Amino acid sequence: MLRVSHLGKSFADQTILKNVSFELDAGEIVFVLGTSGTGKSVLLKLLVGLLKPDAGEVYFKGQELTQKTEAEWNLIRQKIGMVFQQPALFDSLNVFENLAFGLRRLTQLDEYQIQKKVAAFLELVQIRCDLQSFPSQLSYGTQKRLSFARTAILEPEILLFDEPTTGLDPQSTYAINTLIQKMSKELRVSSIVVSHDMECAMAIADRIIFLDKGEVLWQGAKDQIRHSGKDLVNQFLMDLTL
Amino acid sequence: MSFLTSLGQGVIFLTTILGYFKRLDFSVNEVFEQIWKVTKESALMTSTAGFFVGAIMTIQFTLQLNEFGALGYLGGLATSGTVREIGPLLIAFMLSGKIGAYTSAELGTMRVTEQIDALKCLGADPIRELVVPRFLAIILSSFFLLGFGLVMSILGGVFMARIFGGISPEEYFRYVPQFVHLGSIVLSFLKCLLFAIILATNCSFFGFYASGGALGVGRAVVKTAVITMVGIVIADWITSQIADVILRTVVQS
Amino acid sequence: MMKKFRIPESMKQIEFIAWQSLPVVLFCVAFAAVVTILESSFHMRMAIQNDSMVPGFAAMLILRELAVVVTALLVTSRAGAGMAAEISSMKITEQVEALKMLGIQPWSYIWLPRFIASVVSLVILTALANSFCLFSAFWVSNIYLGFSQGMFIGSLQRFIQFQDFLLSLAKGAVFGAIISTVSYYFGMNCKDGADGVGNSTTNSVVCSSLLIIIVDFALGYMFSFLY
Repeated sequence: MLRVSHLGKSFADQTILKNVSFELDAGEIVFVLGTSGTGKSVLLKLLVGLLKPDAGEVYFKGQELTQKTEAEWNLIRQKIGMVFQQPALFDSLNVFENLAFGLRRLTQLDEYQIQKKVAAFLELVQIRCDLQSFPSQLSYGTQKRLSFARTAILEPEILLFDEPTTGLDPQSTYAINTLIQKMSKELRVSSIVVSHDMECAMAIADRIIFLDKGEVLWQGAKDQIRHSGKDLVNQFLMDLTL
Repeated sequence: MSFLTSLGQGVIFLTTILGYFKRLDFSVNEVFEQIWKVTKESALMTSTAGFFVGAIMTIQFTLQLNEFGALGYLGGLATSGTVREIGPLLIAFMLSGKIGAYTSAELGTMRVTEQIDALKCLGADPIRELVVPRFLAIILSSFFLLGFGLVMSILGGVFMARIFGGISPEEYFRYVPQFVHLGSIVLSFLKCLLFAIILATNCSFFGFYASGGALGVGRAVVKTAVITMVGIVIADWITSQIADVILRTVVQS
Repeated sequence: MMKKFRIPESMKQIEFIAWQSLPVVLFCVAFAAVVTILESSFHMRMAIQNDSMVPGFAAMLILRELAVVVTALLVTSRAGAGMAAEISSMKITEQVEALKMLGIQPWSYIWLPRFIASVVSLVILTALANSFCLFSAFWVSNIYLGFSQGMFIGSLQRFIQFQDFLLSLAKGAVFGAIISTVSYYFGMNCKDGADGVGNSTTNSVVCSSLLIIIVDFALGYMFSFLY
């Protein structure tokens, strides 16, 4: 469904990503692991059109994405959604308006349908709060789950996650992980999760991609990871068992 | 980032925003909401600053004119000097601090908390939704606020003249028509407009492109304030210089 | 004594405040001087059809008001905001709490060096701004109005005295005190998050600017009785 081919990106004279290639099938959960600052966030931004690559192509259901204009991206962003590292909820809008935001702009749903959807997805992320309240009044964990709902409500085919469980308490971490799995198994949503949390990866990933210094060090099915033959990967695995 | 690169990017940014304005591609409601917000935040500060600026000028002018026994001219001279020069300059300085800092901090915070990226991903155009309304609102509001500040500075001048120089309001305003003519008022308007544009462009630009977390927001605020002030000083000089050249040409012909 | 006043830290702060602000200050003040001459000339010609007093009158305005206020406002935006941002950042990363745990008073560690540095910097900057401003005024009077050096100095002597220069330095010192203290206050009372730093920076710039204008008025009023 998604094919990334020889993607490269540099800022000034620093190469952030080099020769990154991988594929994503429907319903798959792929984790992108690696040390901090290896360009994992940049990779996601390239896939959703927030940045333009210097080299390589991205194919979504046969369409090449890297040369699309901003207007064309608006159509694609309904199908490829991104959940940011920070909740990034809009401070000046209340919870309801935050969730309805994408629906209002990218779909033709009427008010009644929007209300139903908002209710449904609040249920999905298991949040019970006042729809009129504002993001600043909510806890970080709640904000993160709302941010998830805000993107998922568009029912995209691919979801991109930038460090979804970093900084969360165990309960919220478990909730988010369960949600990602649910989306993938029940709604056939493919997910790319950028993380440095090995535990989460071993819990829910189907495949794992390991980035080091902007290049793909290793990629394969989750059960194959112990046979990677790469030192860095084994180091990550060791920290896990500790 | 080099100075020229920033300048170039700033100009491109300004042209982009004006493009939206020309196409009428913005929400009028949003503009009004921003106008209200900006005015509410800055009105008190501007009037206070204006009042005291007028008072300061009057003190200085009184001391000098007294020596020459030309105190009658106080109102005319002080008003003219304030309206043409000191008023727009100092009040614009204050506004660049308040509105400039406020807007660049707001946009900067939205940028570093990824709200601007989120806007794009949810089908909104951040320039249309965030920048253009603020830009237009700042121009309109600061124009109005500068005018209001000038009025306050005249009031400050009158008040100080009474207390410090013993000049009644009547005496104060007597020579004003003689000293303050249409050209001065036009000059004042032009300065206010130009300063407003410089302010609006700078704070939107530096806020929108802030980076580097909380400290990055602080840096964006500093850059906005400093570059706006420098821009205002340069624009102040250019307009006064042009006005002077025009005046000399007219007088000579 | 060295330890109490943290002289090395103060020197570093002076470098931050004075040295980095110097180019901007001189640049702006030069332009302001030119405009003052142009405007004074305009008004003089209108009032008394004679611009022989323009340099003196302009110099008086520059020394007493313009140079010191413009300098202070510029330093507020640059160094004042910078200080507030820095102190805010220290507050939200809990460095202030760490200081208290070590038995160090935040005010002596954070405020005092900056206070000393601001006062010293502003006095230096004001002195330099005054000189540069007068120099620009001379330059413009010479080129544009045809004043010779002698005429310029003669005009100056009629209008300004040495105490004007000293009093402007005193104003500068007071403004320096204001800037550092206001930045410290808002920095220390900063709320969490990117929001908080932006707010405290904004507030410190606005509050300092306003206080500078008001105190300038008060000092001008007080000083006027010395003439």
